[in-house]
Amino acid sequence: MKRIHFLYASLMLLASCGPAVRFQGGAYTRIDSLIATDSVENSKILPYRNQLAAEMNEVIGFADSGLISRRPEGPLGNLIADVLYQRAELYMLESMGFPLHACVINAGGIRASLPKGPVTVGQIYSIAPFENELVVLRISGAKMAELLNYIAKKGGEPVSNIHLLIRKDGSWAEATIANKPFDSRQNYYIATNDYLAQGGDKMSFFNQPLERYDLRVKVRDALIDHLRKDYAHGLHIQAPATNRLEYVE
Amino acid sequence: MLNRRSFIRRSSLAGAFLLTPEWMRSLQAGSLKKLVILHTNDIHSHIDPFPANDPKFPNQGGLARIATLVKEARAGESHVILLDSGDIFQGTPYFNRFGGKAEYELMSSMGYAASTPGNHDFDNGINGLAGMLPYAQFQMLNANYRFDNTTLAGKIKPSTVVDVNGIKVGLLGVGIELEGLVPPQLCKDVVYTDPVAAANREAALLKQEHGCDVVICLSHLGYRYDDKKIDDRKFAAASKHIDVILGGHTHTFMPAPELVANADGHEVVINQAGWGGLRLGRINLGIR
Repeated sequence: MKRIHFLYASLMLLASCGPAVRFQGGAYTRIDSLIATDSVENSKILPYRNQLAAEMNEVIGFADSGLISRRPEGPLGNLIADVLYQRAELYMLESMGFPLHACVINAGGIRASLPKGPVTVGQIYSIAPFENELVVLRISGAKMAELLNYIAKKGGEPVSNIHLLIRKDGSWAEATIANKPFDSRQNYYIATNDYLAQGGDKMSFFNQPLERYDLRVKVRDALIDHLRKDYAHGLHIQAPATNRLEYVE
Repeated sequence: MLNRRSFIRRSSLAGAFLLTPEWMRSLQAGSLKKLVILHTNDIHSHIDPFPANDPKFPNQGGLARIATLVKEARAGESHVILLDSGDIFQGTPYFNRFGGKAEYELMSSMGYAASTPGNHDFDNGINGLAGMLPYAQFQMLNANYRFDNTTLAGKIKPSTVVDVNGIKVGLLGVGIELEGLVPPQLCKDVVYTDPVAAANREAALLKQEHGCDVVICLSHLGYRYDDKKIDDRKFAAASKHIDVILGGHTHTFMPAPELVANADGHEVVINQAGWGGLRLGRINLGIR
């Protein structure tokens, strides 16, 4: 009896001190073309949209298929890593007289997909909105090993000229860089962006490199230049194969 | 308004409908109020819908469409608040060319009450953010960054109180550790402090000093990390006096709001609405 009274008293106490707010359900609405565009708000966007139109609506490429970015690797990440690799390789060969080994960027820096069909300057801004610039770093073999560990642990980052066999536990089994087995006794020239070069995304192996070359070109502009040139030659954007980062047992 | 575009989840039937005597009395007296929270996060300058040929989100998103839904909600309900959880900036040419002015002007006219600075809101530096604040007719809130000796000092308040047609709503903001995320030259004078301690201090103030009916935290911490890094779930469990956490940063498309017990054993609602204006989140609260 005593116990029941105690229980009742506790319940009353709980009720009177209980929160004054109650969750009564949640919902979300997917924003799509079935929802009307508010004309008042749209008219406020219009002057800005019009100012951008001439520059951003220029078509600079044509993609035979849509390209997305994903882990461990996606066609869009591979395409961007390849474009940056080629740009940096040319710079290294012409200005320094020696080759580049590879390119590594971050999947988190690719912010949209590449649409199928005509590709505009504005769409490249959405894919690569940041003002980051292309750099080449010379890093030690030990730092290169850390980089490979990072890619394996992260479950992939976009690379060019690297082939890595990754185990399910986040370690790696085999690494090939510039068509040669990884050698921890040699230094490597790696192209990347200056956000990662200053420790962004905790890529600490890029801190204090042996050498650093600033190409003074934005990642986005390197992409736009490349696509525009191909388009002028009638070349379509093709999805690169995804066979660089592979999982093994 | 219910149609095929809206996806309703009632996550806690027991929590919603098992009424204690106090709630029964409020119900009978007709003094129960319903607060409708509409929210976005990580808009990332996606003012316009994604392109029609986008592989992932064809012709989805668009702030002028969200504006339609907000107006509909306001026409049908008496207590509606519109909130955002940060990373308004960076993602389309609108930001590259106009620095955030277009985003802020539009969100102001849509009637947003508040947002919180996310890591990408520092992409044009501390001064880049401070220079845009005059275009925001909504509050920018953060309780765990210190902005002393920066141009943001005094411009970003830890918390605020908003009257939503008779409901006293306390709002506060918390942000993610910026080191390793934002280049140091862009945010080096912003000091990150423990979000739990800062938020609990502000929330207690809002509930106990200001007598708020409900406290909502705008969080740019991220929904979930499997290591020790603070996320919305750990934050909720350690929190006190916060009723709702509206999240961001991890671009999480939550199928339904999640309920977590806080440090006092009370229920906290966590929700996040994807990114890029692709979803408008909604939470209904009963307030007695």
